[in-house]
Amino acid sequence: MHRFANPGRFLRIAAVVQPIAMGVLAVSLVAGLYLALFVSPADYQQGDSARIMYVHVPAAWMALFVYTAMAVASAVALIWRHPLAEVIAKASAPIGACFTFVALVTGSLWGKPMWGTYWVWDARLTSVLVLFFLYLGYIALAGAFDDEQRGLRAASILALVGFVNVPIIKFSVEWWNTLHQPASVLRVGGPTIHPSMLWPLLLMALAFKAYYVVVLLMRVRTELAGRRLRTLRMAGAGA
Amino acid sequence: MTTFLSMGGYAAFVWPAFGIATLTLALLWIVSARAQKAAEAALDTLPPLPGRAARARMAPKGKAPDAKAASPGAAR
Repeated sequence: MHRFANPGRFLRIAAVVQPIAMGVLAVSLVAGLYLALFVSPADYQQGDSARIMYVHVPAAWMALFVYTAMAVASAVALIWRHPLAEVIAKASAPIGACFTFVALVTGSLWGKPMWGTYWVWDARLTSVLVLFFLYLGYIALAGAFDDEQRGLRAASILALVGFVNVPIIKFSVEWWNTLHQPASVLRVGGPTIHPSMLWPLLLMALAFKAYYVVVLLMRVRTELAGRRLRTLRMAGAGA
Repeated sequence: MTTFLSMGGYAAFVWPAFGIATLTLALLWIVSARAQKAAEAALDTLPPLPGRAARARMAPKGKAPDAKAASPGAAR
């Protein structure tokens, strides 16, 4: 892990990883969308509205994945003071917030024709809304202090405390008698979803994951460049 | 083609869902890419730091030349 602490080395690795991730994104997105919109069958009950699943579910998965990454990075930043850790956490937050927003909105648009309502205060929807507020809270807290380090430290603590929400979201459909359907993919006993629907779902999930890598690297590089700029300007002022 | 566009009658929900997802993620991409370009371009406009030998000549006599000592933020 310490090999990546040096930003120079990280940037060299990032320069290799980013185009590869872009390639993966392009291929999986085209394949995933093609299967999702043209090849996969309409649901026998939900008809073509079930195609919303192919953006809703991957976005929701990414919302949880990115928050987990943020929480791990925050823990590393707090415990080991690894310099890149808080940069990665800070860069991840807006991406996770966008994925959560997409999950909420697409879910709402799916809920209206299927459940008869755009919103209901069920266990999963409510806990995902809380997740969205946690993301916004992290972003606000990180930027709220004059000293950026203090802001990031406070935000890191928020990220860790809020992590309890992630297993709550995951198990909400089992623990509570709630409207949102239970798990069909990541469950004991394996997926219950048909391969003709599972494949586009997994391809879209891969596309979203590749997207996260690409945009994360953009944002980390921006943050590192900004820090270097401030350091150089201070050095120039002091000389 | 019309059956595809109508999405079995659910077009009013399916297409806005895909549209908002695309728009949100595209906007985030564009904003992030622009910020990266601006930040890295700003770095390139700065004059390059003098080499180590030049910095050693610039340092006051009797003091160990140390670029990191020049700014408090660099030590982090």
